[in-house]
Amino acid sequence: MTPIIQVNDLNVWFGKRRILRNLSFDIQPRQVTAFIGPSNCGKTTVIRCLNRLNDLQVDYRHTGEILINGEELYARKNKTTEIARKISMVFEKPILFKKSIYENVAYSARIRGIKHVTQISNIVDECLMKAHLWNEVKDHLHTDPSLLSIGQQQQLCIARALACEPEILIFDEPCSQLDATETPKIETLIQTLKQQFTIIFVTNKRRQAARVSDVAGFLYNGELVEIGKTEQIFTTPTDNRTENYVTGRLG
Amino acid sequence: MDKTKLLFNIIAVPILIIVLTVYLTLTFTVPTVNSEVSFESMNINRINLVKVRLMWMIPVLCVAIIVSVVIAFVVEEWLSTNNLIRRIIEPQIIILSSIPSIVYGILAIYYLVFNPISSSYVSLAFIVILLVVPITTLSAQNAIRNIDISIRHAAYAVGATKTKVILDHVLPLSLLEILGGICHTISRTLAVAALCILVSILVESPISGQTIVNIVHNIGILLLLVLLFSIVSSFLRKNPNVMY
Amino acid sequence: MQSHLESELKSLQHQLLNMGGIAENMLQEAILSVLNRDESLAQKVITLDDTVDKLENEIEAQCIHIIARHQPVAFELRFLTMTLKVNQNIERLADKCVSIARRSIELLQFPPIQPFVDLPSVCGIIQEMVKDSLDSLVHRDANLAVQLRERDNKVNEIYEQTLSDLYGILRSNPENIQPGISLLLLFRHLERIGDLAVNIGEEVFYLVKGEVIRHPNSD
Repeated sequence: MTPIIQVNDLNVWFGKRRILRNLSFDIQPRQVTAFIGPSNCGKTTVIRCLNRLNDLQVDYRHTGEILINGEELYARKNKTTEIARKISMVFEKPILFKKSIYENVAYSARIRGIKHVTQISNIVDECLMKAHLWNEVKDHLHTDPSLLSIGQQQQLCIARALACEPEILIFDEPCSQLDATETPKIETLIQTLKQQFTIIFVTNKRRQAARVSDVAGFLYNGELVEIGKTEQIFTTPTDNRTENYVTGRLG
Repeated sequence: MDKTKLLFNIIAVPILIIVLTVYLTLTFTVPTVNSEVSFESMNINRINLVKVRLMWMIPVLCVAIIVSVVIAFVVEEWLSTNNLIRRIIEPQIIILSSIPSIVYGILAIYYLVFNPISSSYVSLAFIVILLVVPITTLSAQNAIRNIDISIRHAAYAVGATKTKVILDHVLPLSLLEILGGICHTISRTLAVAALCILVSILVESPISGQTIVNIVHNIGILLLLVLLFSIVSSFLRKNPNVMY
Repeated sequence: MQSHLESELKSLQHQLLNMGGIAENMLQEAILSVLNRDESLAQKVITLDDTVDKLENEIEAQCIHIIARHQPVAFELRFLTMTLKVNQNIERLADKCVSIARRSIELLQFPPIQPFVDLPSVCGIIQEMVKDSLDSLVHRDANLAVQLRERDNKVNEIYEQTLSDLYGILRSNPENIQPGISLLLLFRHLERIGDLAVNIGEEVFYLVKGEVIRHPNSD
C-alpha cells in the first residue's frame, strides 16, 4: 500500500523556538493514525503542518518535506485553500459559524463552488447522515446550532468537514470538551468514517488513542519517539519513554 | 522586538505632534490678519453660514468613516503584527484617539464662528478627519480583534480564501460592533457641531428669552440625535450573539 | 450503533467457537478411529492439531490487544479472561485428541484385547460433555456449566472401574501388556478431556455469574 502522506525530516520553528525535531513518518490511507504525547509536545503543530494552518502564524518556518500523494505540500503552486479542502479539520472545541445548522454544512459545499440549491441540500443531508446527526436535527435544520449539545455540535463540525469532500480528516483532540456519554459516540463515528477517509487524530488521552487508532505515534518534546501499530505501542513499546507514557508514569 | 516598538513610539509620536502643531499654527495665524473686517463688510447671517459649512462636512464625515473602517481591516487582516507600517500606524491611532473632542471643538469654533469666511473647507475637513478617523479605526480594530481566532481557523479549514473569510465571517461578526463605534463617533461629531452652533448664536445675540428659544430651536434636534446615537452605540457595542 | 469493542468481542467469540468446533470434530474423529480401527482418521486428527495451535496463538494475541487497547471492565473483562483460559483448555483438548489418535494407531498393531463395552459409552459421555461445555458458552448457560462437574464424577467412576478391570485382564494375559498400556493411556486421555470440559464449564460459570467455583473443597 502506498502511503497517502509521507513526512521526511520535518523540523518546525516558531520564532527561535524549535517545536519539532526531525520527524519522519508515513500515513497509510483508510486508517486511523493517532498522535499521542503529553501536552506541549508538538502534537497539534504536526497536524497543523499537514493542512498548512501553521502558515497563519507569523514566525512559523519549517524544513523537510511533506508529501501528500507524492506531491510536495508546500510547493508554490499548491494553494492553501485547495489543500484545506482535501485535508479537512475538526478542532478541539466545536467551532461553529453563527449560522443555522443547515448553513454551517452548506458553507463548505458553497466554498467548493457548488451553487445549485438542490445539490447543496443533498450534500447537507448526506453529510449530516454520515455524521450520525441527521435524526437529531432533521426537524430543525434552520435553527441556531448553539442549542445542540456539545457532542452534537462536534458532530456538526464533522459534518461540515465532510461536506468539503476531503481525502484526509484531521481531528485535534475532538473529545476533550465532551463528557463521558458523548465521547464514545464520536469515537464510534471515527471508526465508521475510517472506511472512507484517512483519519489523523491527536489526543492526550492515551486510552482514547488505544481504543480508536490503528497506528499510534508517540511524540515527546518535539520528537517522534515511536510510531507503529497501536497494539504494538500499547503492548510491547520499544522505547523506554513510550513505555513510561503508555503506562501513565510520564505526562 | 519590544525595544524596537518602543523606539518607534518615541520617535514617531513627537514627529507627528510637531507636524500637527506646525500645521495648526500656520492655519491659525494666517487667517487672523483680516478676519473681522471681511466678515463685517459682508452682510450675512453668521448662524446660517455656520450651518451651511457644517452641512458640507457631512460627506467628509461619511468618507472619513468608510476610510477608517477600511484602514482597520487592512491593518488587522493584511498587515502582520511585526509589519513596519503597522508598527508605525498603530501607536499614532491610539494617541490621536485619546485627544478629547473639546480640543477639536475649540478649533472648530475658532474657524467657523470667528473666522467663517477666511477659513477654508480643507481646514474644517482636516479637523473632522482628525476627530473621526482615529477613534473609528480603533473601535473597528477592537471589533475585529474580538472575533475568536478559531472562527477564522474553522473557515480556513474548510478551504475558504482570505477574502472569503473576511467577507463571510469577520465582517458580519464584527459589523455590529463596528457600527456601534461609528455611532459613537457620529455622536461625538454632532456634539461638536452643536457646540459650534451654540457659540455662534451666543456671539450674534445677548442672552435673552428669545435667544434661548433660538438655541433650542437650532440645536435641540442635534442634541437629541447625539443622545440617540450614543444610546444606539452602547446597545450595539454589547454585540448580542445573533446569527448572520 | 455498535461500538468497536463490542464488534471485536463478537468476532473473538466467533473465533473461539470456531476453534472449539474444530476440537470437537477432532475428538469425534479420534474416537471413531479407535472404535472403527481407522488409521486415516487418526492421521487426519494429528494434522488438524496445527490449525488449532495457530488459532490458539491468534486468539491469545487478539485478547491481549483488546485488553491493551480497550482496558475493559466488568463483563467484558470477565469475557476476555475466560476466553484466554478457555482458549488454552481447548488447545489442550485438541492435544489430548491427538494423543488419542496416536494411541489408536498403536492399538492397530495388535488384535483387539477384548470388546470393551465401556469404551463407546464413555466416549459418548465425553463427547456430550465437550459439546455441552461449548453450548454453555454460546448460550451463557451457567446451569449447564455446573452440571458438567457431576457428569465428570461419573466419568471418573467409570475410569476407576475400567482401571481395575484392565488390571485383571493384564494380570491374566501378561502378553497383552503393550496394547493394555495403550488402552490405559487412552482411557486416561478421555478422562482428562472430561476434566478440560469441566474447566471450560467453570470458566463459563465465572463469565456469567462472576463467581469462581473451581475449587469447591478449598473453602
